[in-house]
Amino acid sequence: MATQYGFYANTNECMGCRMCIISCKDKNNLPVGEKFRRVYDYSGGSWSVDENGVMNATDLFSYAVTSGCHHCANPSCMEGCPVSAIQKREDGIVWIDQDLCVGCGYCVEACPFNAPYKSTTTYTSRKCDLCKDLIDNGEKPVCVQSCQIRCLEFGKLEDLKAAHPDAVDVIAPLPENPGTSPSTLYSRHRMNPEGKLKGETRNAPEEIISETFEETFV
Amino acid sequence: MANLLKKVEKFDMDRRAFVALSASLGATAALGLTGCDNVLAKTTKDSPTVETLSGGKWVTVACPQDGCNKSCLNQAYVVDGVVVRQRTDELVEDSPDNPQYRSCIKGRSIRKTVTSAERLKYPMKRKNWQPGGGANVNGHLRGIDDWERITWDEAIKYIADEYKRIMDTYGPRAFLATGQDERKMCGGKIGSGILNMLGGCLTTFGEQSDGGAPVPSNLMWGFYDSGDTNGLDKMGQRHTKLQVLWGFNSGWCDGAANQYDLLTAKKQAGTKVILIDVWFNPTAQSYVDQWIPIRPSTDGALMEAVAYELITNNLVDQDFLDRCTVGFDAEHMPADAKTNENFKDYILGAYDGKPKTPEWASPITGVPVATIKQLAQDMGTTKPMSLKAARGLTRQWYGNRVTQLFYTLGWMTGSLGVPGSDTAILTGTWGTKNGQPLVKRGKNSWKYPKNPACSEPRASDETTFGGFDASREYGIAFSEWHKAVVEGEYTLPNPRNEKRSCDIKCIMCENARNASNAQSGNYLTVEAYRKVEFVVHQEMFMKIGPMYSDIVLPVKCHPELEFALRNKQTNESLIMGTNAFPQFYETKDDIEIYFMLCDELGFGEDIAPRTSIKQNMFEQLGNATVIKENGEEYETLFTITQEDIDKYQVKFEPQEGRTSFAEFMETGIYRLERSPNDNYMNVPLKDFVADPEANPLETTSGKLEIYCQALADWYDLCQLHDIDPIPKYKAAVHGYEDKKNYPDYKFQLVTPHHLRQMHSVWANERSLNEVFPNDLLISTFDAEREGFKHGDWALVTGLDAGQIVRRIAVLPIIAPGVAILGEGNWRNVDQETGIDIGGNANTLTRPHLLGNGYQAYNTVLLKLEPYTGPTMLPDYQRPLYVPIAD
Repeated sequence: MATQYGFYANTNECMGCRMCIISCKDKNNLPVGEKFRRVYDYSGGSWSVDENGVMNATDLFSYAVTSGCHHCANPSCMEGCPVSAIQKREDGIVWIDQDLCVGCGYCVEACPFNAPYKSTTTYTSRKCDLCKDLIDNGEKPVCVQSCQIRCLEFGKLEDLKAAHPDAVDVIAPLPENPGTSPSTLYSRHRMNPEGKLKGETRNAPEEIISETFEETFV
Repeated sequence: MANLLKKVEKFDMDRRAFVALSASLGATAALGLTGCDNVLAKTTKDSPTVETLSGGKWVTVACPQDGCNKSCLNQAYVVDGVVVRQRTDELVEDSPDNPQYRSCIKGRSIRKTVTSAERLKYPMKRKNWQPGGGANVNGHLRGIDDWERITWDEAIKYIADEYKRIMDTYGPRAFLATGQDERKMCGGKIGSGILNMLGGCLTTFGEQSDGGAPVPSNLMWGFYDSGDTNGLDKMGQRHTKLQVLWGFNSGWCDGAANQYDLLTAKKQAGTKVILIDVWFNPTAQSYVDQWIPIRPSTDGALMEAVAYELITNNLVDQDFLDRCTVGFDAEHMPADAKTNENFKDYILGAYDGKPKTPEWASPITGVPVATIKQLAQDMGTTKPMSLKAARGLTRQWYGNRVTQLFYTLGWMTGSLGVPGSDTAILTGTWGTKNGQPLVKRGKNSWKYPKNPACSEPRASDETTFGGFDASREYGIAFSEWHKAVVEGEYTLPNPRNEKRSCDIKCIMCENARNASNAQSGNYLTVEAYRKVEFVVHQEMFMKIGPMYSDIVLPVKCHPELEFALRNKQTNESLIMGTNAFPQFYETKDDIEIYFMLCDELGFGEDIAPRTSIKQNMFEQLGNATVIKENGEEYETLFTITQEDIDKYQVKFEPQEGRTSFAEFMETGIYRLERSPNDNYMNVPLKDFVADPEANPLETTSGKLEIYCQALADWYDLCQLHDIDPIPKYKAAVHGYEDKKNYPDYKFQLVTPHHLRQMHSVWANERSLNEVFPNDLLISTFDAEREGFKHGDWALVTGLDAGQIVRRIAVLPIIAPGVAILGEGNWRNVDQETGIDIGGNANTLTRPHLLGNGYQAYNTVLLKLEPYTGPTMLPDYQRPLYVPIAD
């Protein structure tokens, strides 16, 4: 393969503002409930308050992890697609051909990152296509172009690796050994520099899931 | 197969719905497209691509919110009058010195907001309300009544007739104008103009945003401009070696517009950043090196302990204090001092026998003694230091005292006058050279009549600037107005602190400001609105105010105006939005409504000149100036030709300026290029610090006043609150020390701005609701003790205030004992229980009256109980409120 495009996300600087999700929803006209990207708020640590009321935090950390499709080198979603709707381009972009997809949901189960989801509005599987239309036009993906902190970068994976030699392939809470060779690099957060501190993902359910619902009116 | 059938059925249904909607709109079919965004999304199988973005153009649109202190660049791609996509600043290369003005999640949601299914579409009248007062008002049905669609002519006539009747029957003091002092969603400051012409009305006074800061600032520094003068700019910040941030969360304020600049400054200068706050906030996550957790409203105690450490460890900048300040020690007392107390001796315990040691402060603040000592060591030895507080710090019970202490700490460390140092309580993130924008919008000719019955809103800023005239009518304090309407009296700021009676018959709110979501003590909303004879609101959405109104007028917002100019605190740019959206049903802008009322009531051009928004904006642009390269003088910004004037059909004279007006109108943005070596850097109070005698400040002594007699005198006059001439910490009512008196109230509430909404604007944007919940945040520490789990719903009671139901998020990054709820959720009162199921933070705050009328949004005691009522839906699934379906 000639190229593999990918992302670099600097969790050391990301403030979890959700811009990458919102600009993606705008670009892809996603209805309320559906999204191609998520921001996981991952935090840990414990507190003690002594008899004088003095507060002490131990091993406290908090960072945000933006995660969409990682356009893996070995995309497990693609391998089992019964209608070959999922394709990987020369530049590494993995995308779902909406005209071929029958919405069986195989890819939804196969992806370790929950990137594809079954849309209840199109009855197909949908996910990030790395804004291939914009990339073909010489532009950046909207999530990168709109990032207010400039902590989300796009480029050729080898270039990103060279620019950020300390970056890691996956970071908690993403699965540790996805087995798919994802193409997103992450920097670690300064409060958890080696990634040894364990925490919890503390999002609300609607931030993580992608599904629509029946509107109600009053 | 079943799936496929469902798919076809669904598509067909959506298509039919869409066609029906378009047909019902007749000639304005394009409107159907924008008004029905959801349907479109459902019928579009594939994501739109570059190919679908053809045949249209990118238009710069103004952000709809004036309440934010930034102005980012938002553009909309318009095809045949339909906005199909948005983008932010892609017009210039992005660089650290001149970053693109990238907008926040709210700016990116403009098209969703403007085309929301919940927009008010037509003028409406409450069904069981009839004009004329008396029983036909049926005030008890407000909030539960049905709506009738009426025409604009009918609505204007109802309003004009009721205004006249109430004015003739009861006089101007029967009117309360709650929304006229700001320009939240529209193009101009028109005031309570109509009521002023008819005889006047009562207005509101006090502070919302600035808390207790303005009066102490004006008297201790001689000015208050929310950090414009005493704050660094982005280039100056790059000289800072230590940033100490107090309750500062720029990542959530002003749309995060400057967080990247702060981060850049830190990286370039190798700055250490310390945050003192009740939570490890998103700004901290982005760039803070050390977080010092503290309890709400105890900041003053920590400041005193740091002062003690600075004094006793000889870390005070004595030269700065001696030259530039008065009142620090006995040798430098101001001439007008009425007591002998000085700050140093107070801190050392000379007056009360209690030295303000770290050991004293630690149990109050919760901060370990060693941490306090280390903070003082860092602050006393690292220069230049930048000491910044958000105004939220001063929105506590003793916001006045914490302001005094904060400034004093900055002055003790000499944190002024050299590049990289500032001491500021800031609106946004930056100050600017000489406190002036580098690009200034010009004056316009808009005017409206003055109010004969009361001061202009916010007491015309008289009280803010340390003035006070006991004989003047300042109106009703923001925090007290719901209570005043219900109880029929309000508190006067005067030496006798007396009450004055009021019998409000009409509440009017222009400019979609919706005072009832944003002001403390709003748990009395229902009683207040139901008591009067006539309520009228101009709004975009059915928030709590319009919901309890008799006449509701649907208004437009900035991106729907022909012209909307923004510059605010970015200070280096002018952004001009033009209308990207088609006429949305029957909405009108505030100015048009104002003119219609003038026409109906017979007020001509002599009293109310009918200057159009276009003319007004053109004047502001034509009169705009820009700083010259020398960094001192200003020059005319735009070259305007007769062709430009003819094109826009405005009155103006051709002129020469720095740049072409026509070119500006093509992109909608002018920006001043910055470089680290330009002449625009702000070194706060440079001249004063260099030679205080030659450059005196506008204080009594001409110096920075740690001992400030004028401040103590002002508070003696106003009698709304207490203060001392030297900074002294005092335990807050309903603060941490008070908690022991209310054993059930185990939490201290803080109510910051939430990034997903600007006050109540965007609070109904469901995609924002979906990806960014605004839950009640509590600490893992308390959740374990109180038995709450992440995602539980709680019944939340504010001490001596109202109740809300809210989902809980349990996070380790919240200090123990602290609860955080972003303000701005729409108050929504359950008619059976009286509980606010919308989760508005101000249902929990109290209608107290402090300082110059500021509000203690961040000093609230809270009780949390498990919620056991009917199932609650998260905000993004909340039923849509569409009063009249179309």
